[in-house]
Amino acid sequence: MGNNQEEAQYIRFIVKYAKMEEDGQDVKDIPFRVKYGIDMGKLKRSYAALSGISVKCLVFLFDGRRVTDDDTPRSMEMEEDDVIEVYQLYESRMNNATSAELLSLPRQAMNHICSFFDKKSLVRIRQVSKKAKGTVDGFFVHVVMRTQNTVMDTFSVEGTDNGLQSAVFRFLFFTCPRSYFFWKICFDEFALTRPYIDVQTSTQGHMSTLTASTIRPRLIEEFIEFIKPRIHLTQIRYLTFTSCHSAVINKCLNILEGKTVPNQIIFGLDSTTAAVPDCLDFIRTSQAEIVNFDNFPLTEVSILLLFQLTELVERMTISVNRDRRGLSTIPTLPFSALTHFLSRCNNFTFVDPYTLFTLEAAEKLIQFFHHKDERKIEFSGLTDADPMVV
Amino acid sequence: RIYPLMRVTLTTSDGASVTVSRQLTKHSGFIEKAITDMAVDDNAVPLSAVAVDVDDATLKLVIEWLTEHRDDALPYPEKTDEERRADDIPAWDQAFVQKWDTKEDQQQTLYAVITAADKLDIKGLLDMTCKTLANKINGKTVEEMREILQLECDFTEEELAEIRKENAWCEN
Repeated sequence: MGNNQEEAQYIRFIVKYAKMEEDGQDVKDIPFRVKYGIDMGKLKRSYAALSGISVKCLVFLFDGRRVTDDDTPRSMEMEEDDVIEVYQLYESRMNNATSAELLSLPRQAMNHICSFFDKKSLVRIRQVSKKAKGTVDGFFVHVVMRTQNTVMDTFSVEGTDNGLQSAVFRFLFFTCPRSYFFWKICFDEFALTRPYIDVQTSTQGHMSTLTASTIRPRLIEEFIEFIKPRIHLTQIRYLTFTSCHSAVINKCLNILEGKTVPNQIIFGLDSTTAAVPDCLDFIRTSQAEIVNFDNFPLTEVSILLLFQLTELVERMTISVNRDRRGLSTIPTLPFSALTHFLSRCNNFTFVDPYTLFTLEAAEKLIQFFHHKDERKIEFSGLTDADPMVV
Repeated sequence: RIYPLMRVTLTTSDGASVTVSRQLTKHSGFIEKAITDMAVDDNAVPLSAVAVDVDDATLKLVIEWLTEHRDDALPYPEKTDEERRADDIPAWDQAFVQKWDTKEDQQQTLYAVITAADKLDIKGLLDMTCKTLANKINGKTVEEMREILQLECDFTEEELAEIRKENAWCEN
């Protein structure tokens, strides 16, 4: 019984590749066993996938009649063991030859191999030959494209016209800050000669991040020379120094000529007290609205220097991560210098104050600011319910 | 549903055909797709079709690897870019690849298996072979890389100087 039912449902036929004269391709016949009601469109696509020839290049004939996508074996009155002929109209451009050398491996496999190289070797391969360089550069672009696709989703939701440009731009600076040649490739590839980012679009749309810190000082000049004409009309929203060195900061002052004033500057991690005066100079020149200090060294000297900024910045954030180094700097925090500084601040945010102060010091601070209720001092990132916002 | 006793016949470009258990072929995304979605008759998958073009010798190696790895977990665990590392090839796989090294055309065999793994969508094999190749090249000088990859330098001195400048950030 089961057999009968199956015979009623399924048909078996062969799709035969009709060989043209000068066509060197040898495609074997492919037997199919499908349901009577299947759309031939699906079968065509299956055949194309199996044979590696684009479905657009193929014409399927049954009984001298062209098979359309909506046909089914039933509508064409096909019988068991019938033959559908396939003709290839024009050369499919797919190249599937077995590779004798590395660089003719499929693109996808090549990218996969590239993902296992260590960074140094990957970059060094660019020196091997033209084709090798092309392969590695292609891999970089592939990484950009892949990342950009996810970024693009967010952008299209927000409907920005310049989504592509800003997405690429943001990626360039964000993901691969050290490899300035990488930017070069991408600028060429995406023709980003003037990545103008429209201020009228959404808040996400005109954001670009410039991470200058991780570039070696000797490369900075070169980089600035390259990037300056290209970011002429770009609004830099964030400028991050993840580790502050005087030389780096000074050189970055060059970028700020023209209309590329960053709104927000972030100083972070390895900032040393020695670099503080340079940071301040930079903040002054840039006229940034928001300055973040991540793991900024809070010593008496630095706080007194920060002091001079209170009239320049509208809002300041000090955040200290809960790591050992952050904790070790806390006991040395000179309380008197800090309160003095805070009393002149208009708007100040502490992130994670527990890691900054002892509970005792925090209570003292609260008491201190209780008398100055016109100031906006904010404590965020607290774990218990204690309302410490003054 | 995978029936362990189900057989799949694979035909190579040399015209040879091999019948293997479905337990092996389930690791190949391409063969699985051919069987389940593409309505191929009698579980006969023509690898001779232009899309794949795997020859007999390569297929033998692929099947040897699949036999060893038939119990690997599916789906194959995807790694993020940060998690990727080239030095975690299992001992059996290392020995398996080592065997090709004694031959004259060791690189060719590796390339052929990479191509086959890519086309047949066998993620574990692709990862392993790509890692093997990456390990051969990682940490080598440019000259050594040329030798391994058998490539001639076709840059002019000026072009080479330009690339060295671009690469400078990552050397030393």
